[in-house]
Amino acid sequence: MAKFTLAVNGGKHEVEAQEEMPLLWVLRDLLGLTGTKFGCGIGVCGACTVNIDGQAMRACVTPVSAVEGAVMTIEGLSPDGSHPLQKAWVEHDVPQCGYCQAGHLMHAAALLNNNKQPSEADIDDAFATMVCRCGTHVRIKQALLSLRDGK
Amino acid sequence: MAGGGLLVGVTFQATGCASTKEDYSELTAWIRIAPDGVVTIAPPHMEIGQAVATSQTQLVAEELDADWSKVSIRTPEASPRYGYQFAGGSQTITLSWKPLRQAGATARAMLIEAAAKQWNVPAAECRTEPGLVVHPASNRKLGYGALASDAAKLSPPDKVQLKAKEDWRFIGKPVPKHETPAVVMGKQIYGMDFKLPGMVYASIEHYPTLDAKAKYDKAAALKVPGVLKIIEVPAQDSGGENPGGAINAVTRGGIAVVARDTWSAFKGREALAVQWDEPNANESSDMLADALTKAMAGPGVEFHSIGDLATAVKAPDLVAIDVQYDMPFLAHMMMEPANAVVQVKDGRVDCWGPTQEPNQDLAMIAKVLGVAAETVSFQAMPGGGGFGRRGINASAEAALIAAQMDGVPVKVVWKREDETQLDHFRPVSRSRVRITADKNGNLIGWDHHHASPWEESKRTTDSTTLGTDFLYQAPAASFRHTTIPTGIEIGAMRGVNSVYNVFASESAIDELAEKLGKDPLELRMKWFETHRDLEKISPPPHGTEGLIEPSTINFQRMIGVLTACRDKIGWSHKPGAGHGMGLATYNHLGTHCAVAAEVQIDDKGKLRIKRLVAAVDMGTVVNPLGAQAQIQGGLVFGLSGVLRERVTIVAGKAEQTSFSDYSVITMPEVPKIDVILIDSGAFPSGAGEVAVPGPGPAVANAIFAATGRRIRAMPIFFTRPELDPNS
Repeated sequence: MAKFTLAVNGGKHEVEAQEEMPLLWVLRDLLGLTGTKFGCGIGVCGACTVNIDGQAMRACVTPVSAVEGAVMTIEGLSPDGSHPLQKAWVEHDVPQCGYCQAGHLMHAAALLNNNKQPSEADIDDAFATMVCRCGTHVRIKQALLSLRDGK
Repeated sequence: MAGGGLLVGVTFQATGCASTKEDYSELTAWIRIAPDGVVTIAPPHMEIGQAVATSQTQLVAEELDADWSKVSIRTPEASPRYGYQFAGGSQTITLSWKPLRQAGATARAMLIEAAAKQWNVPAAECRTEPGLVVHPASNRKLGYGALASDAAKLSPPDKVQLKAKEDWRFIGKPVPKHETPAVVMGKQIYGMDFKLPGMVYASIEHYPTLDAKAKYDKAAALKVPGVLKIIEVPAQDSGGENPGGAINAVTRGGIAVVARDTWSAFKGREALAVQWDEPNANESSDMLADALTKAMAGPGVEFHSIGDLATAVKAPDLVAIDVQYDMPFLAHMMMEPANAVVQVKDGRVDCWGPTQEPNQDLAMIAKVLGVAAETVSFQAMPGGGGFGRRGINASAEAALIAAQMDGVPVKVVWKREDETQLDHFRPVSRSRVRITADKNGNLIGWDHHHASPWEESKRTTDSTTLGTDFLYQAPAASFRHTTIPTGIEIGAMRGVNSVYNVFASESAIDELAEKLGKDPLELRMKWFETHRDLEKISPPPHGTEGLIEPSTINFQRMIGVLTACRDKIGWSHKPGAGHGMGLATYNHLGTHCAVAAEVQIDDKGKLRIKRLVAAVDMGTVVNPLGAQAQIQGGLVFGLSGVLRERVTIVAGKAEQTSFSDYSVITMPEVPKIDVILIDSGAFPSGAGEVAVPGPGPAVANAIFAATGRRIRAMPIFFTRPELDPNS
């Protein structure tokens, strides 16, 4: 067990946890931030995607002791749903069950941090490792392309 | 109602309204109106991503004449007062179309009567505007909030008038999904997120087979930081049943590690280092394949016949095909693993979790604990996907653990590995289809025999799209089933038996068309045109009466979907080298559907699926935005199911463990999708499953058109690895 100070969503949080406890469970069970989801626990589905210093990271395979930099979760994307991605998701009625969508939004946020004008092929590549079982892919792509094109 | 004084129901807020008042008045079980005018509607059938919370609410709000900006939605707790609460069978809109509209109209009539009494005018002189009762003659108005408590004291009317279609403000409109703002902010509380003060977490090492014996290191598990207790949960007959499918009456049981947080529970479970002694675990995929071969050689049990097939096929100058099709076990793999929170305290049992049938969870909990159902509450949480998996949930096993925790609430969390290994799988199947036609392509006889672990005597959902539900008008036919024994747990998965029945039928028609030298689209169109004035009603699958409505097959509507699909894809039977188009037409529980695929074989010989087009007629579309999403999603689910997905069995268990070795398709493999919704104005049928069976035969037939080689076994990239772009 050790104490860790984490920068999350613009604030500082002190937690006491096992060094190897994944950030996912620190966020969900210790900090009460349940927006980041558990889908597989082995980093292959993307439901747990957060941003650390603007890059997409899978919280389920990131031990808390390895976290450096500013963590942003879905709760930190905006205070009120006003982030352009959130608005695009609402406008295009993207989610179905919604469980994977926080991960997809944070993954999209990191993509746009690195590439403001992704091509359709860029979007395909970026989302090749993200899983959605409800099949919202068509509307995710639609939302991203419309955001890109300023529609 | 839920114990402990906790608020029953999880309230989704529409367009920013927030009602915190509990002094609402109830006008019918599904409608609460608060003094501030907020209308809280409790759609009975469960929301698992199929947007029915929104569409059911549209039905109520329409006839109530509600102000949508003041509509709030809550998930009702498990109770017979709400009627049937099951989500599945694509039945939600079909079953609630009349009752929920009547509920809205009933409440509206009572509000009018209350206003009329207050104004001392005849009710017939009053009408409503959204959220208001109005007396035009005296220019008086009263809001529903002001009237609700008086209205609730009145007797509901015996008969109500429903709105004419031209007056609909919500039905048929693209109302956005209610939960989306909360979802995109990370504020939507799923069962996995639900927390009670003092709650502990449990992870269970389940018995892999019912006669397995375990050796485990209890001391090592208790040493893991955060671990509190190890509890053995026995296998129990909980009386539960998978929706639409095989009986799974046993709560599997296992060794539960109870800990302060989820991670510690998982680590504790690893430290148990459970070793299983499973004397009878020897079943394998090879053994099942042998059983299927044996089954096909036998006569099968006939569940429906038409005319005299044996005689019909003996006539001279006929053309026949005789082919077999295989589909594997599939896993549901919904994104939110099973979970449940249970608190057993002060003579009450309260449970929260995702489900497709909350009253079954409640009954199972009562049964395993041996308590009266009146002392149990079950509050459904919005589900992170279902697809037929959430008939048997973690609730009964969580109750058994919570009963040993002195009133401390317990959350059971399934790992992804648990879901992949311990699912009740879509069953493996083999189908043999023999079609006989004359040289002009007129259908003479249809002989269909399928084998799978579905137990015929208990549930004939095998008849979906076959038997009395069969689309094609063969003058002679025989439909037969053989049950093969298995120890693997099976259950309903989105599309259920339609998926393999339609794969077999629609591939066989393609093979017949090829033998006849005919375009497969033209052949089907000819068959539909021959019966263009026919409408038939098929009864629900045997065993589902009362749960699934009779369904309508109408050939004008089949012609409609086939024409729309043909035109949208720009159908060509021989589009050119390396290109192919393929097609499937079917009627799934009353929804008429045509799905076409366009594929290309690239210069490396790899398969690229370019487009899927689905034309769907579900009668009356309550919400075109939600319906389109279900068709898009169903096509992706169906396509994923036939490209790479399969569960293989070794030593009585599934080999696959997670998304790492059970491959589902992702963005690069999702083709361009076009959905055409045809609103024929008929009685509404479902949208949730109809698209799933289409991609398999459409893509297989397209691959034949492009390559000249048939796909008769799924998944495609296992049967034909050379086509796989990832190989």
